[in-house]
Amino acid sequence: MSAEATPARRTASIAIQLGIVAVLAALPFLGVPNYIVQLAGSAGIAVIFALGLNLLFGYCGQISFGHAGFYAVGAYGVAILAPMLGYIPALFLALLLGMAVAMLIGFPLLRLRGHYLALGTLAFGIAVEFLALQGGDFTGGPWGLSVDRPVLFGSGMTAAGFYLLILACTVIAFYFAKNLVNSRIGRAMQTIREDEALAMAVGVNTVFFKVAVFGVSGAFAALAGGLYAGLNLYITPDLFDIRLSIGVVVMIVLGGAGTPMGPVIGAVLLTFLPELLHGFHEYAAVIYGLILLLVLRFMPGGIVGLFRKLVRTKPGGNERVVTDAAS
Amino acid sequence: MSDFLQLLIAGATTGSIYGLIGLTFTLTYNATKLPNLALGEFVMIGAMLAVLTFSVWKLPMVVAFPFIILAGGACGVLFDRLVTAPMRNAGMPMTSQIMATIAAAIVISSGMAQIAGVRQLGLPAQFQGGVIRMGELSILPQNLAVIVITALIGVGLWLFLSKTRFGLSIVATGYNPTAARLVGIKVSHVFLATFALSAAIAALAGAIVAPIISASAYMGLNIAIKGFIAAVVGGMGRPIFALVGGLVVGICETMMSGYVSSAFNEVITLGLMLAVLMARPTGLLGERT
Repeated sequence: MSAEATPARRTASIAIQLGIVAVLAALPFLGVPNYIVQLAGSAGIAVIFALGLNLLFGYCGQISFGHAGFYAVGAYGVAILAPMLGYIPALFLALLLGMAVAMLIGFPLLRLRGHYLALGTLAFGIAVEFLALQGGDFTGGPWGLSVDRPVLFGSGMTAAGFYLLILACTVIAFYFAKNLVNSRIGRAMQTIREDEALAMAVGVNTVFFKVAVFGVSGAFAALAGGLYAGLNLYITPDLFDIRLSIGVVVMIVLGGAGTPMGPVIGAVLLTFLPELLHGFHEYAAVIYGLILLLVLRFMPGGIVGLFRKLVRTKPGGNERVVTDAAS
Repeated sequence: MSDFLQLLIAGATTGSIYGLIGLTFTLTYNATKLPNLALGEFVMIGAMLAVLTFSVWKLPMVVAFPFIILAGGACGVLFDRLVTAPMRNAGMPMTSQIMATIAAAIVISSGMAQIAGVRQLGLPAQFQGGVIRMGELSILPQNLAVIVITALIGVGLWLFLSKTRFGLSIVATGYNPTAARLVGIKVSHVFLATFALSAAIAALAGAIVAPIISASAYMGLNIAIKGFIAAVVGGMGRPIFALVGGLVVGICETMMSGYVSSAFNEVITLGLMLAVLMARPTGLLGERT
């Protein structure tokens, strides 16, 4: 990725990235319908959620089928804390809470092999949904909670303002994740994914790294959940069921696990796609499952992997060596 | 005291079902090393077929049960041929294979929801008759049947795995697939057979539990989780350990609901699993390694 570090290309790349962010930030002011801006906000939230799980699954090789649980921790955390503290402090606390919960359940599960993690996270996701359902007045039970409209600097945020907050969080999350995986920590994570015994042998404290990454990905999920609560202003337990946990896995696998752009592409696609196909809702879960099955079998690198393969095999094309993370 | 015994019986009934599912989970896991997260869907299919055969078609028990078991086995064969075998043969990493099973689970359960709706479907007990009294204790025939059938399957599977040629080849494949292949065991057949067998047992479990907890399209995952937890608590070493794990989970759960509150059932089982994993990573009965 950083192979072409000539100053000119670097400047161009930074300019392009700034341009993309600027265009996205201008979106609510370009006469785009409110409905699209709202959807773009949802996409941003999905991107944050997927980026967090990608750190755990794509780069560290540890699967979670219960990330909706951390998302719910964030959403309920914000809904409960915001009336007392205000939205932004509540969001920050919810993020820390998501991280703490993730590390707490990650510690026993991650000491063992991957299969227990799959089972344990699945059970965790269901337990959180159940707790939200049974929480009485605290969580509003099956009727859920309404969330106060986020307030920033003493005035209620407009839809455009909240969209910008989501965008800011998404951009920070993206660069945080990108820099993390290119750091020493990121290399340790990828060594764990490729060969855990090897990682241990070269002195990587695998339990520490796995629990830490689990915590970070839990924090990402809680942040996404907290933003969701602020966007939707109403949350119920059934929003956070297993389908949400699977949905985010599908986003990553479809986009390309273990790549920086994969979760972004997957999350944006799967947020906008259902809106384009009418009558899709009824079969959404069946189609999600089928997409996941087919992508797993026939396109293991996801969209990014497919793209890289095309670039590499094109005669006379870009010859740079791409480390194939997904194979 | 009679309250306690009564709760014990109730716990043993749910525990038997958890144990049965845990047992089928361990059976495929030990042979193929793949945790099959779609297992609960076979339980759901069994429960749905029970509604169909007993409530709608009104078939006699001697026809309906073999039908459900065979249909479950057929689903297991299809599942292996369409989902797990292609992934395995393409040499996909284990996490991808696990994800494929859960993707299949989503397809099966939401597909069933399209066919049969999402309502809870009740059905009358297959084992009718008055309450059986033993001193202070009373037990419903259906609950007794669940416990007895579980015990029979447990003993039957143990005999099958330890005494028959084919059972031993399943165990051998689990220990070392390459060595098993070298001594002439057809490993792909063994894998197929374990999926068929576990799906058949899971479907039977679904059929006998349906009158107690009713059937619905999305029941699979929740009940499968209890089965997985049973397997982890008991220890993944042998299918029979899962039965013990199931009883422990079921009885703990029922005691908590009976004496404290049922509000935290799912949290209790999750906590139980985490506690066992912390203290004895190989399960209560598993060998220390």
